[in-house]
Amino acid sequence: MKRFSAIREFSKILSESDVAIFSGKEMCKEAYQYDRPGYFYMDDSFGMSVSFALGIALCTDKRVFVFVGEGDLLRELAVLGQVAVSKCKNMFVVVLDNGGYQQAGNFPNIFDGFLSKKGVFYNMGCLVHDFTTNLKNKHLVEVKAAVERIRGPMVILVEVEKGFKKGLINIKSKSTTRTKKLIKFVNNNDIKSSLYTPPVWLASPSQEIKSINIGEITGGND
Amino acid sequence: MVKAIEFWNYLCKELDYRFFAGVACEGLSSLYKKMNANIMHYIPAANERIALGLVSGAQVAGFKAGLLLDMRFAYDLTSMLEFNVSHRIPFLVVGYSEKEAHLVYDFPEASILDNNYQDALKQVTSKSESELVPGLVVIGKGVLS
Repeated sequence: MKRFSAIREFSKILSESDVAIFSGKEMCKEAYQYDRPGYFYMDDSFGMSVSFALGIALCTDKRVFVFVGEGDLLRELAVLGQVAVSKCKNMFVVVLDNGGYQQAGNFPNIFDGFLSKKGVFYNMGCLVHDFTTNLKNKHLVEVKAAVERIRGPMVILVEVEKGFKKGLINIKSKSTTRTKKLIKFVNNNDIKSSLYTPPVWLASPSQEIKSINIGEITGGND
Repeated sequence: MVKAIEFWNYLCKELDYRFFAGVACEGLSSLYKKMNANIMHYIPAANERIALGLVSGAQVAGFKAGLLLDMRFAYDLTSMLEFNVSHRIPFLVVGYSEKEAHLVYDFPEASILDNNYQDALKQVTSKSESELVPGLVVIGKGVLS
C-alpha cells in the first residue's frame, strides 16, 4: 500500500473530533488533500512532532494521533519512552514505515535493521498494533472497529511502499494560521472526545469473584 | 536570595503558569524541591528537546507552560525553536546559568537577581505572550534558596 492511500484510509477511519498531526513535508501535502479542522501540519518538525503531540494529549481529552515516518521517529526515539510512561490513554503514534529517507532520495535508515520493530515499541511500554496486513488487504471495517476502541499510549505500525504521491497541491495556509486553527480546535469543548470508555462491567472486577486462600487448597501450612 | 517557594507561588498563582517540563539540573534543584502539585503540573522529560515539545503542545492546548533548562543545553534547542518562532507558540524558559546566557533568537529575556524576580518574570512573560515568542529568565548561581 502507498503511504498516500494509507493516509486516505486513516482519514476515513478517524473521528471528526480527533486531533491528527502530520510530520514531514511530503506527508503533510498528502494529508492536506483530506484536510479537516483537527489536522495540523508540521513540514519541518525537527523531530519534535511526537513530543508536541504528547504535550497536547496530556492537556486535552480528545484523541491525538501523530503520523510520523520511521526516519523522523529515529531522530528522537527516546520520545517513545516518554509516551509510554505518560500512560496517556488518548495518545497514538502512527508510524508509516517506508524503509528510507524519502525526501533525501530514498536512502536507507537503520529502522529495518532492528531485531523487532514492534518489540522496540513494546519494550518501551507502548501498546502496539500492526495494521499493515489489514490495510493491504483492504480489511477496512476491521481496522475501523479496532481504531474506535483503541486506548493509548499506543504505536500503530503500518509498513508502506516506497515513494510519495507527486503533483499534489501545496499547503496554502501560513504556519501561524495553522497554529490558530489547531488552538481553536483543541480548545473547543463542544467537540467531545471519541476515546473509547469500556463499559462498567468490563472495567471493574465482578463482585462474584472471591479471593482464593491457597492455604485452604493445599491443606494449610502445618 | 529568592525563595523558591515564593518564586513558584508568583509564577503559578499570579502569572498562571501551570504546566512545566524539563530535565532536573543541579542549579535549579531548589526549585525542584519546592514544587507544589496543588498549583502546578510538572513532567520530567527524557531530554531537553522532548521537554520543549511537551511545553509547546501544552501551550497550544490552552495552558501557559514553562521549560526548566540548564542553559548549557540551550544550543540543543536552537533548530527546534525555529518551529516555535514560525508557528508563534510562546512559552517561558526558566534557565540556570553561572554566566551570561541567551537563546539564539532575540527573545524577551531577563536575569533574575536577588530581589527582582517578580518584575523580571512579569516583564518577560507579558512581552512573550503579546509577541507570541518564547521568553527567557535566567537564574544565576546562589540566587535561589
